[in-house]
Amino acid sequence: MKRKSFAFLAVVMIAAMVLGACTTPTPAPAPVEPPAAPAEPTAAPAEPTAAPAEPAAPTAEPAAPVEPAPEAVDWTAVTPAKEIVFWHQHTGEAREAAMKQIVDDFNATNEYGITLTAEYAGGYGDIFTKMLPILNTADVPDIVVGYQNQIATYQLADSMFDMNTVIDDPVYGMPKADQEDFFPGFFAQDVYPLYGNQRLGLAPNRSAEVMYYNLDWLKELGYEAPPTTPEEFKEMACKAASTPFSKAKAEGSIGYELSIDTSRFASWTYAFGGDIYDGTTNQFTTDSEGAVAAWTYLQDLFKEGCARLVTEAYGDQTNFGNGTLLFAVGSSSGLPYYGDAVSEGADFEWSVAPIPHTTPDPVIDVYGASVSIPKSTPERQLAAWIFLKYYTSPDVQALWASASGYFPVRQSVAEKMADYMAENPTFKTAYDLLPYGYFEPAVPGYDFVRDEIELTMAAIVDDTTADVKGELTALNEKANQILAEQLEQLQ
Amino acid sequence: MDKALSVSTPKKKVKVYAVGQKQGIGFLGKLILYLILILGAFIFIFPFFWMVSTSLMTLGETITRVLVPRVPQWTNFAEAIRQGNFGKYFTNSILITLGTMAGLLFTSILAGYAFGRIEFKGKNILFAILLSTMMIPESVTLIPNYMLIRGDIIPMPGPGGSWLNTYWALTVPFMANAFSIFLLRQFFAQVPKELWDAARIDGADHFRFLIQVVLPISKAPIMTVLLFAFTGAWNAFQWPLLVTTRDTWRPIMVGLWNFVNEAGPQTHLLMAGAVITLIPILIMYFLTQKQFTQGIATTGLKG
Repeated sequence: MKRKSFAFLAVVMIAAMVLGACTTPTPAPAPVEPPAAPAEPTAAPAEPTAAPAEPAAPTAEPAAPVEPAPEAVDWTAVTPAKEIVFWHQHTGEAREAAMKQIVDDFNATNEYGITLTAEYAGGYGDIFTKMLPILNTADVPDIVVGYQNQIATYQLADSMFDMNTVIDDPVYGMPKADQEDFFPGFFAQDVYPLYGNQRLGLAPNRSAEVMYYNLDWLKELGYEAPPTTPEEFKEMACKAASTPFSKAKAEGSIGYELSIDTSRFASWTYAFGGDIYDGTTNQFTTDSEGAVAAWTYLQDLFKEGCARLVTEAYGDQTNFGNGTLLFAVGSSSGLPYYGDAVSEGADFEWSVAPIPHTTPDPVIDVYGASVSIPKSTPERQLAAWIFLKYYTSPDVQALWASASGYFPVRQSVAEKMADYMAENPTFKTAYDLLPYGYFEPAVPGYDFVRDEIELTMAAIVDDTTADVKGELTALNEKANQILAEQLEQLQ
Repeated sequence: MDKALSVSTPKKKVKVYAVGQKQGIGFLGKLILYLILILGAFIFIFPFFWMVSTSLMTLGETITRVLVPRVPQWTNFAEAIRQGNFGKYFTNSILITLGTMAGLLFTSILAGYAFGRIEFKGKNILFAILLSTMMIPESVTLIPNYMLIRGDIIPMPGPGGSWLNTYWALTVPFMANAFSIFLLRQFFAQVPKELWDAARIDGADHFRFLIQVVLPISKAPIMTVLLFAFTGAWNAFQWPLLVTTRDTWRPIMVGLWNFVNEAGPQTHLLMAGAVITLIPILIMYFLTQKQFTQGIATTGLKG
């Protein structure tokens, strides 16, 4: 009897704990990382120009504002704090060295005696996990890096500083000329219609989704240029799958390797004229006609053996470098790493191009984390804002972009980077695609939607008999359910 | 092959095997067995081989996916130590691990003994609750533990009421562990009652019995607990990253993360760093191997 009671009690305890874990989802730590950023969906891209003039400004109608404009602050009565902290995610010798130089220069030259400490706080997901429990407390950093959807989640708790209160300040503000020097699309990305058009961040850098291609291999296959349409892409990829590159340094050959990443999902959907979010209805549209067309096309590529999944971290980069992969799609911030992979690997001529598209013009998924200021004291917020102005100034942008491989966010920086671009023609090629920029949604809960998108991607290409439309419809339902749950918290 | 000894009994013949003799399984059987074991060993060893081999490669060799480096690049280790700031992190890891091990041993021995040898009210319920905590995934308790360490639930002892960026945040949460308590409880429960009776006759109480009789014969399970504690504390990554915002107390696994960049890896340096972090665990294991195997075996033998 005693043993039975003991067993019964154990079962009850365990059941209670399991049920206790099944609570209503709230902004919980998102797992990860990858280069994908939320922002306002933009209109169709502008005409290409010699220098990237502007990623198109957002034209979607803003949702009804849910918060009144912030009260004006008399910043002249505020003395900037002397010590502030910046949480970032940058690793690697080059980026760490550049960040250190930027911070040291700021600390040495700013007229307010502000000392900033930049701290590596983990990856984007780690930072998100750390931030959630400390929002609206004194433990928040003064500046934090985050994707727009993460900032949108923070703002559910009204925990982020609205930079609109200081950006036009006569003393501490950013001059109009400087504001207009930003690429309009980048500048607009951190304005949140969901929160009454509050500016909750500034872009310090951006990157874009590009297609890496092996030009030498293309020539061996009988082509002089990269594909511009999906049909050409398929033809070349399938030919490569059966015709290995003569200079390959490893066995095997394949046309395309797809990595399970929501930004790949978004990029291919955009390339087929679709979208994953409708800014006017504030609903996800992952089952749009373009998305169905794109993923049916990709499933077909897998079915015919012309494409396969990336099965290890940066596996596509490695295989591209050793000459066994013809096309890879990834972030432009990977340019230096692809360069190293190729020069250390099969050493061939390569470059980047837009993802082949059915639209009249290319559509490039542009993304990147912004830097935001959590709410704290006016003194800390002002000091943080002063650093953000410095971080996004043209000279610092030129230094940062050259060291990091990211794109600068200011148009005037292109001139300062002329030498760098001459030495790195692939960077210039990618940079020149910015006018065709398009952005992923900046809505709370997008991190969780990304997880669902990735599961669906895997389901579609792993099982080449899977019903693409069915999968995407189910995904869209889940995505909108997640969005609805998040937006409930705004009520 | 040894032959069985046939012994005639009045009723029937019975084959008796001497101790250690096996029934013959034949050459083919042995061959299959050894092949399976070799395959299993290969599957387990290959990742280690690949890690060491890659740690000695150039970047180009990792790109071209060669199996062994043409010329071992021993400088990768120095480069990994430099880039990953391993000197500082290594010291931190040693201090964190030692502290965690000491605390875990203290709590596990006392709790294991109490559950194994002392009768008290509610013992079974408490033990059931303790065991049930082993079912809870770490990710579920991450945020609550973080809030606890920050002092959100109750103020932590010390300045500011928060343990963020302190040694305590990295050690105290791991100084009690249901599995270790369970392991030791199982062993302590098997200590013969006669020993306890004899100790009582000599006037010993539970504490003296534990120190003078039980612990000296518990080397095997204690070494097992120490090994698990060492491995867990040494490999910790997510928790230290969560509770530290400065370099002061960051452990070596955080240093390894430096080699995984946002857009591309430095696989050869990452593997060099991994080899460096693995060495103390290997040393610890080889030192405690005999007792570890013994400890796992003896705590599970009898019900």
